[in-house]
Amino acid sequence: MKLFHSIKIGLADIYYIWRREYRAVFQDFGVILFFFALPFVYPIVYAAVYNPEVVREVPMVVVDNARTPLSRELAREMDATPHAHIVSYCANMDEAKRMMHEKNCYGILFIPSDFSQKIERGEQSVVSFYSDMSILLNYKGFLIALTDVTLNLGGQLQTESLGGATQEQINVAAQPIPYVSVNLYNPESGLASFLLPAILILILQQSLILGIGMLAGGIYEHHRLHLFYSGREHMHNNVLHLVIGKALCYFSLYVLCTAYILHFIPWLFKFPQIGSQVEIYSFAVPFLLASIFFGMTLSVFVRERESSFLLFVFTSVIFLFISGITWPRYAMPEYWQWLGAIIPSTWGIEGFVRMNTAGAGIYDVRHAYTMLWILTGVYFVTTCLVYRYQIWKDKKRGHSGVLESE
Amino acid sequence: MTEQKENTTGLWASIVREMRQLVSRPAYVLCMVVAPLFCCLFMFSLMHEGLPHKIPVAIVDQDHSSSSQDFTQQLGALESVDVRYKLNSFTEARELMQSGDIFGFLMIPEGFEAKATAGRQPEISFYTNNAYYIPASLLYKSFKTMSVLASGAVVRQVLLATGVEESQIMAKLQPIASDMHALGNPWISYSVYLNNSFLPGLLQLMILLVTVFSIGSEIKHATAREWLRTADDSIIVAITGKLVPQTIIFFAVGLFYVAMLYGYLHFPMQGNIWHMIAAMFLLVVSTQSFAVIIMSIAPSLRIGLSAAGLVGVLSLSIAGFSFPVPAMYLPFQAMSYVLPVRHYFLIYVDQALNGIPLYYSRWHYVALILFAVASTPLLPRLKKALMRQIYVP
Repeated sequence: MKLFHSIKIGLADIYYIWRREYRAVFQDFGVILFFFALPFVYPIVYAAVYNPEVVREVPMVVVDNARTPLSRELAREMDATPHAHIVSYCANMDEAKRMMHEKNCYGILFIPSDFSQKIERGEQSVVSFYSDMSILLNYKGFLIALTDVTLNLGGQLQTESLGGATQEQINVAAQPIPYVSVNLYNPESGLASFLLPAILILILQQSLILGIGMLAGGIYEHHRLHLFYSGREHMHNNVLHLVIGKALCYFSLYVLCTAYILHFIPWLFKFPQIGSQVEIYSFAVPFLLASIFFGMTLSVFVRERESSFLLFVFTSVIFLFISGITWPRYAMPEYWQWLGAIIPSTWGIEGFVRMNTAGAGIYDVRHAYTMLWILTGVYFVTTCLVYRYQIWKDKKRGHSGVLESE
Repeated sequence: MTEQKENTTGLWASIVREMRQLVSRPAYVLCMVVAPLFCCLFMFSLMHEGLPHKIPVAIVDQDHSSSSQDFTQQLGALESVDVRYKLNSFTEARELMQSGDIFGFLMIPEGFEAKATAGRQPEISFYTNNAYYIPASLLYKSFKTMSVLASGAVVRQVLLATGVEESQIMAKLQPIASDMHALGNPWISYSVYLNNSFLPGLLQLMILLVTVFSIGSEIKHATAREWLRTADDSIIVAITGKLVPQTIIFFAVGLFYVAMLYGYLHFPMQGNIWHMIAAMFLLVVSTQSFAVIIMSIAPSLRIGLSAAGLVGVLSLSIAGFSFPVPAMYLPFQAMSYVLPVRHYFLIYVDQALNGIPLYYSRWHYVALILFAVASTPLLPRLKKALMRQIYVP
């Protein structure tokens, strides 16, 4: 009976903290911005920035010293690819370089004067391409276009040289082993479809860390921590109540944000979204919990409401890189893999990208899912420890007062 | 009396006052020195290889012939690829791809060897997981090269058999070859590519946050009037006194970046290093000025920090480091040019990566100088807010 009674008191206490925390959140305009405005606006802005997805028709120039029908055909075919667009034919390399320096073009195709002669003589003819490297996407487009165009044109020349062969013989001679390439999960190789899923997860985690940090900073700054424990000594384990109550508040507030960010935004911007939504939601549960406790643990470092910005904003970039979405995790030095492993967003991104973009089931991402539950447990314990520590420190200062009297 | 007054007010006194504040709060030390240095070491060590090597892949070999095994071996010999699994079915490979064990796989169909020798064109297919951009594009390149080479090997055999001379084979195989020159970054190193843009971007973010925080804190803690008094009620002296110590620290961090990038790591530096040092100095000063503009328009610590965070973080996307600005929607194109780091980035491309005459970068230097002075007309407005020193939580 006694046990039953203390459970009842415990639940009532958690519920009480939970309700108080709602009030704290909604009375604080700064926190409302973090919890609602930031998750609402950032995904739209990011999606809009990257929405064109691919780079098309990058300007280039041609220096054609051969001036033969074949060299002109080569240039024309280059222009016809979706990747490149010829803006000018230059008389010489100096003129072409000037065009490049003035940012009128990002690539130069150079066709040497003996281009056609060499082919007629049965030698291999080489064309050169000079690509600006400031943006890798431009380079990549040029490279694909150049390879395809020279291979195709070369294939046609081979065909002509065979003269009188059947189409089948020609195919066999030119390409005895054809190949097909399939871009899975992101058929256009779009930048938004690749980057946004990771950014979405990061927005969830970082807005939580920032908001929780700001709340904690406010409590520290105004010496209000004692309100959460004094006069409530009859409660055992009230740190546990405090931590669970607050976490329940944040979790319940983030249900809506999660649905909006992980479900609605990919649908709205037509990103690849082939996973089972139910499974994605169940995956989001440990991710949210781990992020909440991670944020609550980190909040011990926030001594002032606004330091939350200083301490946490720049970590977004680190967390994005360490998650392995750009630079794969296996290729990182081991110590960064370890650091990445203790950040919830690393596993969140891994799981979400695989489920949402690649259509994996929750069983396929069981490693990330388990890691998130482990992190939830670890950060729950650390949260309790830092809260206990803070209360201990606060008690030494000897503040008093009760929560209701606020 | 007068002598003592001179010591407690004026520009020097404001500088001393600011230096005291900077060392009194760990948050400043963290944001001005520790975080930028950590980011720098983090990025460099993360990508020290330049390109991810040994990307895990699978081979679905349904032929089990000596040709298909040769092919697998050749693929495994590439530096960019690590053949982790040899599988029998597409489904197995797809599952490994979804669970993230591999980033791509290549299928060799049944009857590959028989068809190839009989001239019946067996088809190789390869799949890359384009949810992961960098590994996917590297794999695409490796798979494609291998497939083209496989075709080449067969044609070569046929040609040799028909009596074509070895010296003519390349011309027959590939009449037109292409020679791609990646100007300035021939290794196509992602480390060169990303660090030259992201590190200054991160520095801009930290400068924005710290500048806004240091001005906003005066309002919050109601010390703004005292700050102005120290500066003899001159907003110019007050701002200069506050920002000069920060300029020195941030510029020192910027110099460290420049030294790491072009000195220690020998990243491409085709032009004059002083052009980059000047650009780095202008980046620091123009970003500080940008932050002062933010605080003059919205003199509230929280709103200022929100704006600084927004601008700083979005800069990394809108300044066009990874997705080129000309391909963005028009409003974002316009927005990119009001970011100091965009101009810094374009100067870097001209001066360090391509080493072209300074003349072509002139407007970007001018833009940075304009940013640096653009805050001056707004200072009276900031002064009014400082006198009121109303804190909005």
